Amino acid sequence: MKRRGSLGKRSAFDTVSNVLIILFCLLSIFPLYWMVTGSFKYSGDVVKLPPDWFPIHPTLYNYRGVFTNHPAWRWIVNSVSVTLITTAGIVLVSSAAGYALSKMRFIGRRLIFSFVIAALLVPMEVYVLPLYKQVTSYGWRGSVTGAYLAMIVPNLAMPFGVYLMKNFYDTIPDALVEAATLDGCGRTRFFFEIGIPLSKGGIGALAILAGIRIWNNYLWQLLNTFSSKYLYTLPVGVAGLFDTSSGETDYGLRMAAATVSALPLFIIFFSFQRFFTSGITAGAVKE
Amino acid sequence: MKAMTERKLRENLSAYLFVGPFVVLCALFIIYPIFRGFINSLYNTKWRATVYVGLQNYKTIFSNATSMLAIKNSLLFVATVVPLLIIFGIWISGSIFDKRRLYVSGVRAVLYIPVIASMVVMSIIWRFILDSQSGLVRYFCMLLGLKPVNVLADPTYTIYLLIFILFTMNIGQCVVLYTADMLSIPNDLLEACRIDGGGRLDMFRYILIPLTKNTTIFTFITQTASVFKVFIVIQLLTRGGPNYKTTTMMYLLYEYAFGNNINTGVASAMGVLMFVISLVLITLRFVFIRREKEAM
Repeated sequence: MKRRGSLGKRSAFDTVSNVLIILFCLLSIFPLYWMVTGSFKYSGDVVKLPPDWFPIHPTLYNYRGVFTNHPAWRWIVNSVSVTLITTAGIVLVSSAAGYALSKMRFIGRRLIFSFVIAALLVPMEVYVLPLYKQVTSYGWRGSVTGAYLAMIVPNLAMPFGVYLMKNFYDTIPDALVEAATLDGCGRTRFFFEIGIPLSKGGIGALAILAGIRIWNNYLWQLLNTFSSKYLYTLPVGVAGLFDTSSGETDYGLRMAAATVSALPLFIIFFSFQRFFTSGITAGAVKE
Repeated sequence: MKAMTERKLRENLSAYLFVGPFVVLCALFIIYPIFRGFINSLYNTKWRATVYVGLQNYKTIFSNATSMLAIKNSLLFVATVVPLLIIFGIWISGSIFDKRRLYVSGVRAVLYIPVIASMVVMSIIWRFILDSQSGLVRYFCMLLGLKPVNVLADPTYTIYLLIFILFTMNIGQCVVLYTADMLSIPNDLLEACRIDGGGRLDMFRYILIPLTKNTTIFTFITQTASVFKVFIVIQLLTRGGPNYKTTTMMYLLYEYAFGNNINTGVASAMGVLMFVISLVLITLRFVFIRREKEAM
């Protein structure tokens, strides 16, 4: 789409607004610029004042340090496994439930959907302590398996995912389901053979939003991995580099670790930008 | 007729198979812990013995200066950050939405990047920028001839700083929502406003603000929920300090539940209080949904 409207004249207010917005964008992106450039500076240069506005002697020294001084590979493996498994589970659970809420009639349907809407506004933080005790009582502690179970299973139910998928299935006309039913295709078969292929856009949006949410689920991962630094996920490990117990003092290395932690998300964001807007806006306005 | 009811029954059954996993997981890992938290808030553990104490834990919260400050801070963050997000969300989106498409998606992406980078990474970077010895902020203070201050250790600045950081981390979400809504406004309306000689401010006043009311309500509810549970920024930047001045309800809950100062009864009570706030938001949400339906 080109500019909406045809009037070329722009008001002074609008021009000033847009200049300020561009400045604000620069301000908002600057911390990330500072992180990336800092990660390429030697430890002496990174803390120098006045600062080098860009790395004059760029080096990969800090990145080597992240992987040799700390078990960063393990953190990556942990984060990637937990994120992928949880996301796959969320997509399965949510699309099945979202489909039923949208296309099937059953007793308790409205109650469940009301619960979904309500649960959207209850953050995990509210019940994190009892949940933590609960998974401890299941013995999900200490070992890799235990920590993975604790990090994965309680997150499989994601009300937002069900909400998003229901809204996507709502856009598939009921008439299509009716027609298929008349042709002898049950609603269950319809889900697997037509519903899922038609809702690829919804599943893509959900997978990305859920994946990012799980990757960044810092508090829950912190609680479930503190027993060993080999259990840490990437965000937990990277944040831990600021603790004196990590033995780390170098800002260059810390910035390199932060860059490593943010990089996968940036790649996903820029490759799948269209899914983001649809995912974020889905259901925001209509119910 | 009999075939009909049998079909109904079959449909009910397969529907339960579809929603079953979600319902069971929710019951186990959302509803049960909330319920348990409520029970736990009525008990206290001392010397390994758990005793029923009634509402004592709540009394402790409301009579303790630190926890009252935490409640005050949480409310203060919501009361400042959420209006800022709405005002700036409308202003930014209303100024960019009718420009070139590349510009619109560029601004949106740039503002959304801090959300993608995550609270953890952004907090880490801010800690670097604010470092009292080698941070950029110190350098700018020196440039301006000001006495360098350790921003994170000075209670007069930390609250404002946290408000600013929370704002930059959430504004992307709001701009995405508002621009999407504004882009769906029929062109004729905008055109009519221009033909009548309306400037940008009139467009805001008569078209953009009233027509994005639903987004404003949605943003208000969801951002209140999100700002209210703020934890990561506090934990990574100030640890609630200096001297508990920046403690929030969630941070205090964490301290009581997992920190050096364990008191699970009070932590549970704090969780219940936070849940009550969620209930208020949920009620608002349902009132809004019903009003929408009636309007239709």
